[in-house]
Amino acid sequence: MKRYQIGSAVFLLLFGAIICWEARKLDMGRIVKPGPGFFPFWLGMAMVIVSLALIIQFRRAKAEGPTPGLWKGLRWEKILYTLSALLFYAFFLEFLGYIIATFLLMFFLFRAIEGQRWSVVIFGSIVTSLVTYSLFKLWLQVQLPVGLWGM
Amino acid sequence: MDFLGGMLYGFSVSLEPGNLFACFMGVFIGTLIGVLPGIGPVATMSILLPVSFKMTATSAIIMMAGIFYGAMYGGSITSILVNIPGEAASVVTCLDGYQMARKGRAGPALGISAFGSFIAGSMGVVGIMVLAPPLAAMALKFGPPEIFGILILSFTMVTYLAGRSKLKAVAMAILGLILGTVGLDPIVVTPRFAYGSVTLMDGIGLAPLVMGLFGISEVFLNIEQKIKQEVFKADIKGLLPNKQDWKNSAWPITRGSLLGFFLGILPGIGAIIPTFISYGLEKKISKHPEKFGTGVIEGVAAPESANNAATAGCMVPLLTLGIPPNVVMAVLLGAFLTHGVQPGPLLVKEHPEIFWGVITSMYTGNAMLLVLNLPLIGLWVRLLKVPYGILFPLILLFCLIGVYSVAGNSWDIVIMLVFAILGYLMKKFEYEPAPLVLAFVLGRMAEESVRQSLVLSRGDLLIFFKHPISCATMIIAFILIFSPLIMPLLKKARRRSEGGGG
Repeated sequence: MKRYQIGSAVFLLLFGAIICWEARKLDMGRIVKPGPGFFPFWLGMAMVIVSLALIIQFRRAKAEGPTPGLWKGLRWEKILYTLSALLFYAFFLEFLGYIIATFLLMFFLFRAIEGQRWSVVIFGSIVTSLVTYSLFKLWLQVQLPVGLWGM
Repeated sequence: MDFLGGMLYGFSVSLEPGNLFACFMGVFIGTLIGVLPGIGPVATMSILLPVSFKMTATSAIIMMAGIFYGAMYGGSITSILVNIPGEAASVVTCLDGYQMARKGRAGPALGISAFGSFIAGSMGVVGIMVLAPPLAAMALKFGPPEIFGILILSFTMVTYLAGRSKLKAVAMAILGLILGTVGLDPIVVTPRFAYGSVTLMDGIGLAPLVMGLFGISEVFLNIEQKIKQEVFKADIKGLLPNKQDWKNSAWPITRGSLLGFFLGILPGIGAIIPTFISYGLEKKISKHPEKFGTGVIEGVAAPESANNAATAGCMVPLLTLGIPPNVVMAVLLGAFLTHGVQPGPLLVKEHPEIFWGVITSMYTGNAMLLVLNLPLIGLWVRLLKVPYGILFPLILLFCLIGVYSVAGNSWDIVIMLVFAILGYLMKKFEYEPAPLVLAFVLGRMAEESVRQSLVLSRGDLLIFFKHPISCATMIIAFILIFSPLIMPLLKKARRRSEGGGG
């Protein structure tokens, strides 16, 4: 765990440093009248200081024996599949339209992640896309994209 | 408007058919997601934000509030029956609730948690009615330094109350503040960290942030491990607690309600911490502390009352100061703002229908939960049997619909996914999301109040110590910040003096 923890703090440190660097490009103003860069700059500085303190704290912590992998025995590849499907949905939602994009997404998620029966997959994805469309778009009048074929 | 007049007026608003329906939908959905593991009130309220666009502001807020306290009811059902808290605020209920169910007393456990919640919710509503108007009157005199003082105190409390590492909580709060600066500068309207993106120019939305951190990341954590679903096959009969149960629970309910309400008002506490404190308190003052954890009814009654009273308590700072004390209230603030209503000291005067309507709706909502949920428990139990493989695509879809329809912008989905990954990693590396979200929401307010204060004082940083209220909050904040350093020294000094004296 220790190594991962230090890694996370280094990430925060870099993030803070980048924020400082970028904030300097904005108008800092003076203490009498602080500008748009004032707040982000000092927040970036604070982040740098806190993450340094975190690194020191983690380094001084005793190692609790051999570190177990954070993803050991877990099905992390399922997350990658899901994430890719959601990204695909984000990029093609407006092109395909709500019903088709949702049908494809549900089809994939029902089948590929937990492996539902085919009958459940097909029936489930058709029903969810149509029911949510009627519920949100037709009844609650929430804006959802129509897309390619006007669906 | 005086107290009684306000209450009557409030009921006339909250009992209008539209508002009554909104209240019903709120508590119904709240109980539903309280029962379902893996989706909580925060994500749900954000999902329903776009749905509420078409409602009046009053109905929208009534529904949102209903989701929150409804979830408290739902959470206790799963804690008692399956030993899985549907909500974090029901974790403590597992200890004695599940043991009661194993002894065949699931009915009274569910019953007392429903009655206790109802009593606590009602007491909380009375508490708001008494406390809020004078607080709002006082808050009218607050200027930027006072607001900043209260915000600083909120940040400190949130990080102080954080679980394992306070330093990590501080880092998350700073991260939240930084994320809050994305978009147009609040005073001179210069774009910051937008890099030419129109979506980022508007700032990062609360909905994608919250749904990513709380909704989607939770799904990720669940699908990477095989979830075992088991429902305790309890025969639930006789939901009514008997006379002895009532006798044992009367004081725990009262104490839990008071504790929950007053703790709920404080920044950074929310509905979870009071449950732990009230359980601890009951155990401490009990005549038979050793029986706690084996299925005593006090162990269910007290924390369940505390979490419902806390949902009422944390409305107070939002309604009177416009400052959300926890993440759920931050989302509720978002709902207020999308309807163009600024909660705060002027709310009672400018929108009495919202102020009194929402408060009294919490009373009718609690009554509905009591009447509806006791008969519906069978339905909720059946819901627990829906396999996660079917549930999680639906949770994801609701998040997608929710986040897309806020602005009809698919980039918001991408932002949500970024925060989903962040939230997932934060869980892995043991960083808490609550300080991040609260700081994100309060950040804008904090920046405005600092900059306005400095303009007011011509750059004198001591302005925060020259106004009595901000000075007091600053001092409390400093004490909290340095207490982890000072306390061990004090203890050491005391030990030394005791050792020297004896």
